[in-house]
Amino acid sequence: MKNIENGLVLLESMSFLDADLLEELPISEVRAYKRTAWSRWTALAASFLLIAGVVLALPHAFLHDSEDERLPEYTQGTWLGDAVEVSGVGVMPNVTGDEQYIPKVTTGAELTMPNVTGRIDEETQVLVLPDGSIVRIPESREPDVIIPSFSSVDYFELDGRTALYMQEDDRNVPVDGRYIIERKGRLWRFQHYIGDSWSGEEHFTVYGIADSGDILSVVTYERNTLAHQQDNLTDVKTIERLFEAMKTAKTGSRDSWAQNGGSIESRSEGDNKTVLNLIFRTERGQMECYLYPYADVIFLAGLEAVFALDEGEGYELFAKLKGIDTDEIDNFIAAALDAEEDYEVAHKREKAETTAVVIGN
Amino acid sequence: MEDKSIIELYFARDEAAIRETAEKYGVRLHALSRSVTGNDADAAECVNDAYLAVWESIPPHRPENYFFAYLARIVRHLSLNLVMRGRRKKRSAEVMSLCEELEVCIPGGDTPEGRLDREEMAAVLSAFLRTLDGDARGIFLRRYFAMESVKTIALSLGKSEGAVSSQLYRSREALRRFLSERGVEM
Repeated sequence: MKNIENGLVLLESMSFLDADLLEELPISEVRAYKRTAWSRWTALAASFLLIAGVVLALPHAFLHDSEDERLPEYTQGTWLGDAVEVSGVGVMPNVTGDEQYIPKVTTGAELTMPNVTGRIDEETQVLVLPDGSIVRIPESREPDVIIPSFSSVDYFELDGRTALYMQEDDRNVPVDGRYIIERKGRLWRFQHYIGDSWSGEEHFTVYGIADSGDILSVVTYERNTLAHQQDNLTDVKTIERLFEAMKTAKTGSRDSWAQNGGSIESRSEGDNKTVLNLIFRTERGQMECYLYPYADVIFLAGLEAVFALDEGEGYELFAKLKGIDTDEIDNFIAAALDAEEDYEVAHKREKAETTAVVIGN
Repeated sequence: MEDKSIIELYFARDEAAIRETAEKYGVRLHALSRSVTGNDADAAECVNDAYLAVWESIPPHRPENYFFAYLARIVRHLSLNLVMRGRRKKRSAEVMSLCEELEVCIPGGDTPEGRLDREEMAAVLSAFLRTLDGDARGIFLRRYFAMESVKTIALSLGKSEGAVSSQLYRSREALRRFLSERGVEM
């Protein structure tokens, strides 16, 4: 049986490749960095704080070393919105006790930190040091979706497929709250369900999770089983209208979608990280679909996860909607999988590991 | 200093050997380890451990014709071990993602005679890499040996991330076929 351990064996085996293949091994100096407004602002804000800390600390340094004639002259950093301007020239100790020259900086693209001097590259948003080396600015972003842990797990059959029934490990969860995980095409379809037998209200949250653990789509919807006997997500016309809405959203025209009974809201996470929030309302209930910026793959993932499509069906619909050949879709998938260096995704993966462990059992 | 001279220092048990090694290859080794571990502190630790391992392994080994490769293997192995020991959970998740990418290259089946250990698998992988052209091989090595991100590779080569991803996808498919044709199982 193939499993992730085999991938690890392959990865480890590469440590023993023939020497001549490694002799000219190209190693990039540039570190990957996800260019998001959030991380940009976080990094710059952190840098600014560092500068502020340095500035505040400098007088103390002078007091302790008043005989040093090469006192730092730079005294302030100015927040420019997308860069930090630092003026002045001087010498200051770095963390190892050595001294480092701080050049005069007059333009907004420059940045100084306690023990490094460099500039923020406009294109890659990484810190470039004087010797040309590049430092990644760490990002700390909490995941958008948190999957809880579970106290009990049972297998059961769902439409001929093996699925998992999991009880959340949280005493505050309603008694009939439950989770279902099942394999759908390329994804794990993770469904959180809370039902209230008294009111007939049911609430679903469906996550489309890749093998990597990436959460590629999040859809919530609700219905009232007392008033309506059918699940509106299985209604072909509903799906068709959703597709139309998505296409409309891509063109920027939202009126037609609104006329069809839905609404589209876009909300921002950070600055330029806009999340498209589709709200689809019918007489049976309401469905919300959040489309993240890496929309192409999300779109496909969403099709498969939300509507429980098989891989082939998802491919056909995706290709039809994108106007491309189905053979081209693999490139989208590959791009999605290769995007896993994204720290945000890595965060999500950590949260999804609980799920992965359960699946593995 | 030439590699051969550095090796002689090791044989003479002269500690200058480590200094010369660090002088010549330290930056590249640190970059390699940092790429795997994801941070400078761990990279520094792994590279230092590698110097110790090299000191203890030369002699008897005499890798004067492939000294950097010798160092790179050790550094990469130590770095990967550190990550997989769970000290860097976030990074570990990324390594597991790489494993998943490679996992699809492995053919199905379960024949004991087809199973290979890591060194045998490395020989097969080496043979496979020789079938790739220079660009594809470089990208594959950066991704799965140096464990660089697609974005980093793309930036370095001046290509789009999509182009690098597509190349990796084609290489993985080629590897899957290569392994399958040779009846390789794991």
